[in-house]
Amino acid sequence: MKTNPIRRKILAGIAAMAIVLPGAMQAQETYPTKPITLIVPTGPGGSLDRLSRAMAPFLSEELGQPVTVENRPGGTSILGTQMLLNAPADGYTLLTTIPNYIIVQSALGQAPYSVDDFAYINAQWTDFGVVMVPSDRPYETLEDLVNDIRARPGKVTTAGLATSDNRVNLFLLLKQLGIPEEDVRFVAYQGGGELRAAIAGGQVDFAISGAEGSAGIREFVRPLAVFRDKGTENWDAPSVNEYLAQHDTDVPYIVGSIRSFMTSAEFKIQHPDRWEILASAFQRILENEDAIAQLSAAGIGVEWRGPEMTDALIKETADLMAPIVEAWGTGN
Amino acid sequence: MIDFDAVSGGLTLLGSSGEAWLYVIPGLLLGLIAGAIPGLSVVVALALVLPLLQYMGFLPGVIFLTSIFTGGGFGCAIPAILINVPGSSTAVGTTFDGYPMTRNGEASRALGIALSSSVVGTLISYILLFFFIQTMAVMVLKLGPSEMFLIALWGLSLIAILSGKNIMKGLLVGVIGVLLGTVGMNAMGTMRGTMGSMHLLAGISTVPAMMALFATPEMLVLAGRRRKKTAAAEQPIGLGAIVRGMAEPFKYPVILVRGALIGAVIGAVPGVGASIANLISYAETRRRAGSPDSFGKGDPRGVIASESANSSSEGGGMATLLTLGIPGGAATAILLAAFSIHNITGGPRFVSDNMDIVYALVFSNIAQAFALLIVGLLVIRVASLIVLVKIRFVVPSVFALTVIGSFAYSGNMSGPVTMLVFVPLAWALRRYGYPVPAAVVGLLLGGMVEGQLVRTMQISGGEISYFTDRPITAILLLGLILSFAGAPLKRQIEKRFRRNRSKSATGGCSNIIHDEHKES
Repeated sequence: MKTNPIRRKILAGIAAMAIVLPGAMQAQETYPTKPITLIVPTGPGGSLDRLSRAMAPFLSEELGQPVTVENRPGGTSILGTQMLLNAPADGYTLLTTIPNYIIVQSALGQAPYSVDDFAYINAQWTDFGVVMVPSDRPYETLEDLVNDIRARPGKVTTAGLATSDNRVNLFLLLKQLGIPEEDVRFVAYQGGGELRAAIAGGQVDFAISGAEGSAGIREFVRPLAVFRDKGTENWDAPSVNEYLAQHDTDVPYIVGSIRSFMTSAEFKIQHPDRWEILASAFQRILENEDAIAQLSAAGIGVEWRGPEMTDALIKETADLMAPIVEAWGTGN
Repeated sequence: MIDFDAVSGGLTLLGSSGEAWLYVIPGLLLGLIAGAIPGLSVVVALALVLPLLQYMGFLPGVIFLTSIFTGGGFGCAIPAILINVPGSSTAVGTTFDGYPMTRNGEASRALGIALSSSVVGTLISYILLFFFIQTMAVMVLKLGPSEMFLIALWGLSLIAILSGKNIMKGLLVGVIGVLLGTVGMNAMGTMRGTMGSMHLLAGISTVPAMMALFATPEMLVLAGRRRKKTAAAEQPIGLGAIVRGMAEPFKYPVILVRGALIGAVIGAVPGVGASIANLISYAETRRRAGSPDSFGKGDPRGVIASESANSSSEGGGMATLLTLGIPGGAATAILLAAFSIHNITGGPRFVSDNMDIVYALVFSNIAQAFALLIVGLLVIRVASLIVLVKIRFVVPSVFALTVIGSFAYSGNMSGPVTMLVFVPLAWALRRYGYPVPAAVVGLLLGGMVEGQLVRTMQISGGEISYFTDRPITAILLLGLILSFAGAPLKRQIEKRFRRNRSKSATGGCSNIIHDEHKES
């Protein structure tokens, strides 16, 4: 198609003005000057949805602008996550998700993004894996279980989600113990609910499952060890590393369900001032006693790690997790 | 089994709180309307009101949600019957005979039948919950992958039944449906047939696909019938027809109760739920009926079977949620979120410590079932007026409604796009005489059957001893074989028996056999 070069220049000029002008005008006022959207890449009712909806009113108060939560489920959370990257990098779109999803999706080549495309504000709510066995199984300690796996290779069964943090932790634990992965029979479930029913019903010999999600089936299982420094009131079991210390080793494990708030990495680079305003708003909320009390009452985590520590945690997780998931992907 | 202190505690809880009753009617209405609009579903309605829950007490809040649930359980039958578009996958079985009834000029009767079947289904499931709440949960836990595989296979066997005379065509589209149902990521995280699209990672969106498959052929046929009056134009739409229809299910108590039991048990299984319960109940009813030819052409028994099963899944799902804290599907997941707002975790301890709350919930739901009878009657009185609308308005409206509904369902263009892909397929299937419902059953159950089979192989490691140690698997397998081979087998035995009898001329037993045949 032929185009008049002069007209093209004029058009380009108008387009450039359209891009520059609003930015120039906005710069005079302080961020934020319009409502902020919090994308949740999963359906309503889940933990990410609850976290976002619980934080929205506090954020709105701190930032002086309405904060709305939008559920954008689809494509196993890829759709909503991609939506953040497609939105302008101006700080008016945030994402609440579990970065482990991003790590898995990029390792398996499902999504065009990687952990480096995001700037992490805070990992507010984490969970930890528990090695648990159905009550009718004979294992009393992690030692019993490991001995049985060694004694009957390929017979002991476990259940999990195929690309979950808990399966990664199982892999790391077995590797540290020098047990080949295939010596444990892995049964792949497709949903957390089905998985927990299988554990509680004793369909498998043991499983590593998230502590919070498994609260309902606590009475059907016996915890043997926790992927944490020490056990909790509800899950009173020694740390995995406490057991491994007897064997003069320890296991580098990943933190489960790091529910975090984030923006695109580009936004942090382009608008460091706005990024600062946003991050400090989160910090003030999680240092406010009223907010902490309200969130805790709803069973929601209130940890403040801050951008640096969150970023380090996620990069560390990615380094451990990505090669394992990649190998699973090619193995299938 | 029943804790009478807790029973009176539950009644006191309900009696002393006006708030607990305040939300029942609005909840039922909301559920009915959301269920009746294809694409919108109970899940959407529940999600919509979830933020309000933090301003309500725990019990009133959960009662509000369960009343939406109860209303929606019936609501999705309305479009299934009137325009052949199931409001959600739980009402697929209802379309099989519900819509043909509308075509035969019996829309009001079908709606009445569906309403009272739903009410009875809900009632029975909550009565079961009242007596057996702990047992139901334990039963669910006993079902492992091999049992689930057989249950899913049982549902899949409906393909053969739906194929009618042309069994090869039926099997072919059934297999295509199963293949389409396995698109996406499987249990081991492998992707199949996604063609690189992230929209297909979680599989083909069943609701938009189903709306296209069911609605398109009907609407195109209607549109082709230019000058004729609507099939529905001659039908009586008075309250009388509806009420007479409502009395009808009680003539078939076996079908009603069987549907309710299947729904309650399968509804309690996480990840399986109502969308398969209605199909299995329909399959069993059709297989056991003496005159299977009338099915698919507007047999009221088909509507009873499907509606009693999908409504009773609610009680089953509640049992799993309360006693294990495990949501069985998307709707109970939102109920779980409501629990979390009040920092309550379901589980055996919650149930034993709060038996009064559990009973209050059960009683409230029993009351809701009766309220549904009235609210539902008024809603279907209005909804049934659809049949008076001229065809040239109905056809484009239904198409517009399904496209909008598919958008509402997926929240983006992937819904309408899925629909558009399935429209030509649906038309071609109908044009060349392939049974469309068989394809839908394959699509709905394909992924489930495959996942359970994979888990069965993984958990058993291919060892046969795993199955011999599991009596429930054996019973289910036997049941499956019998329900297929049972009728011809019985005929053979009967034939031989008669031959023997004519020789020995004893008689007396033939009546018993005859009765049995009729019954089952």
